[in-house]
Amino acid sequence: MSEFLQIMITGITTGAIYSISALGFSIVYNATKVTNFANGEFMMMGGLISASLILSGGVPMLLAIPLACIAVAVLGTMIDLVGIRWARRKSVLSYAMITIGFGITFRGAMQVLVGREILFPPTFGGIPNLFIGDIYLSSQSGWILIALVIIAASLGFLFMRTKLGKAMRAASQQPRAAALCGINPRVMAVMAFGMAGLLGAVAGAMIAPIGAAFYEFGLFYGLKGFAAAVLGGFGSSIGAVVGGLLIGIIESLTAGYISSNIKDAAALAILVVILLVRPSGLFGAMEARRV
Amino acid sequence: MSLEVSEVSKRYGGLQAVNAVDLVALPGEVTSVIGPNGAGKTTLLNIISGTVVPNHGTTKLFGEDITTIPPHKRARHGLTRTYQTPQLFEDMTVLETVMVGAHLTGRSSFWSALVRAPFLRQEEAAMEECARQALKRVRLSENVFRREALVLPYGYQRRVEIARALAMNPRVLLLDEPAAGLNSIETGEIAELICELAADGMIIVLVEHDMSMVMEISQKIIVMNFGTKIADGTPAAIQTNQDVIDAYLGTPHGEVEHA
Amino acid sequence: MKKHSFIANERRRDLLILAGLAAVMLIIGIGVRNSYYLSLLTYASIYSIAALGLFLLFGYAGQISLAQAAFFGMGAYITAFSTLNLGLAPIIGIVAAIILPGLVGWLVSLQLLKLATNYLAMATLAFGTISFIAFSQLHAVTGGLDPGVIGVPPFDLLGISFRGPGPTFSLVAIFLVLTLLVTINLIHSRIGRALRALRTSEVAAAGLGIDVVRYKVIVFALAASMAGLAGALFAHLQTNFNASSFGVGLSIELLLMVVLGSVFTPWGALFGAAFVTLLPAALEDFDHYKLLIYGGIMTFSMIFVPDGLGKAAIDSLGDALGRLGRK
Repeated sequence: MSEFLQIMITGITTGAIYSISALGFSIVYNATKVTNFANGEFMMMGGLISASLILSGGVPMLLAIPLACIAVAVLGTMIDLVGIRWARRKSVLSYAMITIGFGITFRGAMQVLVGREILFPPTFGGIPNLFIGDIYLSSQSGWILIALVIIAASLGFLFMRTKLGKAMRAASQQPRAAALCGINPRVMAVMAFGMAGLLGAVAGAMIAPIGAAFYEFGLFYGLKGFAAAVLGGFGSSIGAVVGGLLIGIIESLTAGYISSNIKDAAALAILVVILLVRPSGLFGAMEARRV
Repeated sequence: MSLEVSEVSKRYGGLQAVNAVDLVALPGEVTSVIGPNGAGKTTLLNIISGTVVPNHGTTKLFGEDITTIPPHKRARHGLTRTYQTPQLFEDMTVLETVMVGAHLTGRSSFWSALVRAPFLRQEEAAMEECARQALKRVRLSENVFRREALVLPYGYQRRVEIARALAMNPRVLLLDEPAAGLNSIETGEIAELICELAADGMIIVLVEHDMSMVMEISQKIIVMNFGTKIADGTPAAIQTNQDVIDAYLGTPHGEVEHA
Repeated sequence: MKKHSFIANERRRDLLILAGLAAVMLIIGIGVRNSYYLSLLTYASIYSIAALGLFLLFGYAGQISLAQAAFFGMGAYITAFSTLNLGLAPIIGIVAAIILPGLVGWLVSLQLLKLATNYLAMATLAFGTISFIAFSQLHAVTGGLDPGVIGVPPFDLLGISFRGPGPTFSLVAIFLVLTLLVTINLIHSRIGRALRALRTSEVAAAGLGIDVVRYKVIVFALAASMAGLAGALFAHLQTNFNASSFGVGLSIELLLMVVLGSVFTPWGALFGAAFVTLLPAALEDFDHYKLLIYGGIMTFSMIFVPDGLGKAAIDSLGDALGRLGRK
């Protein structure tokens, strides 16, 4: 039994990271109707930049992580400012290809700047490792869960209670009407990308002490974050959180009871199955089918 | 030998977009659907073209029930349409675009195309000729054939779209606001073209806002408001129908009471 | 007055270019002795075949697929299995490598092609990744990442053995020419035009009688077959290979080849394949900068010249020639 619970804890921890990644997809999609294929790279860069600043640059953690997050947020806004805005052809296909291109560029840049090492930054510390009976909740896991709660609560507050959040929601549902009310959808778009960058970087920086940072991790972060978003219902914030946790749990169960080599395939298989069977996911109302 | 729409209804969540509408369109006639914005005209057209499946009611073409048949199969029955904004193909020339319209006149399959079976040469020549004929019918001259369809002026684009529809030799043609965005000369030309097509025996269903054009070329007019049909008759009858005037047309002095 | 048939002329032009290319390749196969250059050109030709499939799927029909590497790998493993384990003649392996991935592609796409563009891209990416994991993990069948497959025999048919760089190049060249021929035939037919229409407006295409889903499925399966063929030739060329050749990176490179070249003519895919294959050879330390360069090129192209650098180049060439007063 305690083995099962331990697996669940691991699952919820990694799941929390996927949830944050999924939120990044949702925020961008809701503001711009674009699926940001570079979302996973935000996480990768958050982890890798902060890890390399700490390990190679000797920068203290409290400075390195915010720096990394800001850098990634800025890179995120670049996707909108340079990519989307200057795109000659404004079609779904084009935007998808542009974000794919950015993702590859980010990955390549990290390979050149940071290299091909797998980096393990130190854990945050602060919270002690907890033992509840036979079950072990590591300090870093604790931080991740706290972060998820704070982020989910903050986003909820932002979107439901603040003017800015409501403006973003208005701009995504009815861009022209929102524009007539003085809300600039372009500004909303840039902010959405920036937020997704920030969130992704935070997630990446948090998982790096446990799961390491490596320039090729972006692919899986992106796919699993997307799977989480779709599972929960693309565009839904609650869905993103629930979806992420579910994917994390299923992955952990696969690793624990079947084989850890194929745990990655588990999340991907779920994605494919969901897309085929119930593309609107658990909480979403989005149209995934076109025919 | 007609197009018959009976009691079709379509509901989107809380909105009844189309409510028990009947329509009969005969060959050789222009049947127009008019009404204020949001009256459900485009939804009705979408039901007829197959893009939207109604909640109730039937659509029958030449006696056959086509209510649940998807658009590409309706095309095989001879039904096609144009769109509110021209849906032309990017990076294809005018000639190629209209040749796509002739798609159904061909017999080649993937396999025969891959190996270039002998009959392909004739098929390609025939399709090209079919496209040229269609373009001639909409009076587009040969010097635009090789130009990319999307760089042409709007009026030309509309004509290309109609030519593309004509290339399949349709028996039923649905036109969604073909005069939108055209000046009065271009509108006149389109109106004349539509009359000719009807005279050739086609069933034409026209959704339009340009009242003078509608009154001039239609044999029958259906008026819709809030999803319901409020009137059905000849242009003369419609123009003097009080319900229609109240909802849409207004009096000769320009006063309209909106329902 | 005799009317020009523009359509027939376009086809004739493509066939002429193909004839020229075939002649060039014949000369290379016979004349070039340097095995390094030959091997480079052979790789470029193999990837051209896979890129042509993606050209039809993405360039023409507008469907983003990141799964081509999976079918490429399938083709390689199928032909290896057929020649090494089953002892069958290599030609059977090649035929199986064309048919079986095509079937898988057909089955997979039947399900996936109902999805909208972004979902399709993600789903094919997921499929490609799952396949790579399968290739890596099914050690007993594929040899996994280490050691992989060893000792694929050279291709031979009717007693003629294609052993060595020159004959291998000729073998691949023959298949490339055949693939191009088939592609050109498809493009210049009503099916080809229908596929091109799908890229812009599926609604309009359906309204003209085109069965959109069926056509997308067929072209997806065709692309899978071409990738499978390329994979089989790859197996014969490399003799030894492992799963690391069939990761998502290859799918991305193939997409890049199509993007680089042109979404309108098959020659663009060849140009892109040559560029992507020859570039690493030209630049030292390329591997280190590869992703950055590819990413930069892809992003730049898709923002500023979404129809492909090849087309942009051809267009400006055409404009320049036009200004010189030619017809």
